Amino acid sequence: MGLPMFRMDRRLWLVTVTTTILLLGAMGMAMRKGVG
Amino acid sequence: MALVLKSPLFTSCRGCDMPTQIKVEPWWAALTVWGVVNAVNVLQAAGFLSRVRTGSMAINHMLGYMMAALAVPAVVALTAFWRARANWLQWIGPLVYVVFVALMVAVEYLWPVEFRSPARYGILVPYLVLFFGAMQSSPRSC
Repeated sequence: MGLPMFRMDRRLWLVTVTTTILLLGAMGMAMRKGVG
Repeated sequence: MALVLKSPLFTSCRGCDMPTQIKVEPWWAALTVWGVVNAVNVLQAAGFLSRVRTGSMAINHMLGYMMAALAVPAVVALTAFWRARANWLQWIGPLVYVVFVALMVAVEYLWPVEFRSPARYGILVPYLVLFFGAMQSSPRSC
């Protein structure tokens, strides 16, 4: 659902990139703690 | 009567000779999908952080209800795309998300089963593939 916005509105797509990085970072932290 | 809007946005991409006008019909459905994916990203990030902080799935479990509820706007956008005969690249993301929510509700709420630790790959693999597939699907290249 995230990539179509790349061609529609680059600023809105960058918001999605930011929240995706947040998600992956949080997932990485959880996996390192053994609760991922 | 369905509200159909066209994006007024124009964009260009590197490597292309001509600027590309992007028309999305309906535009509000694309915005809805964008809202859903960002809400899910933030909710699940909060869920992961709650696991780190508390060591339990309790908060993540509650956030799961909100992620399941986001299937409603996803279905609305999906229906709008289908009615507008939009390109499949527009509607595949919300469709995969709805399938993911159905699986999540089944294995987390209706018939709870531990599939993360120890890993039950028959559930874990489709669970992760559907989740990340829904979040990032529908690539469109220049």
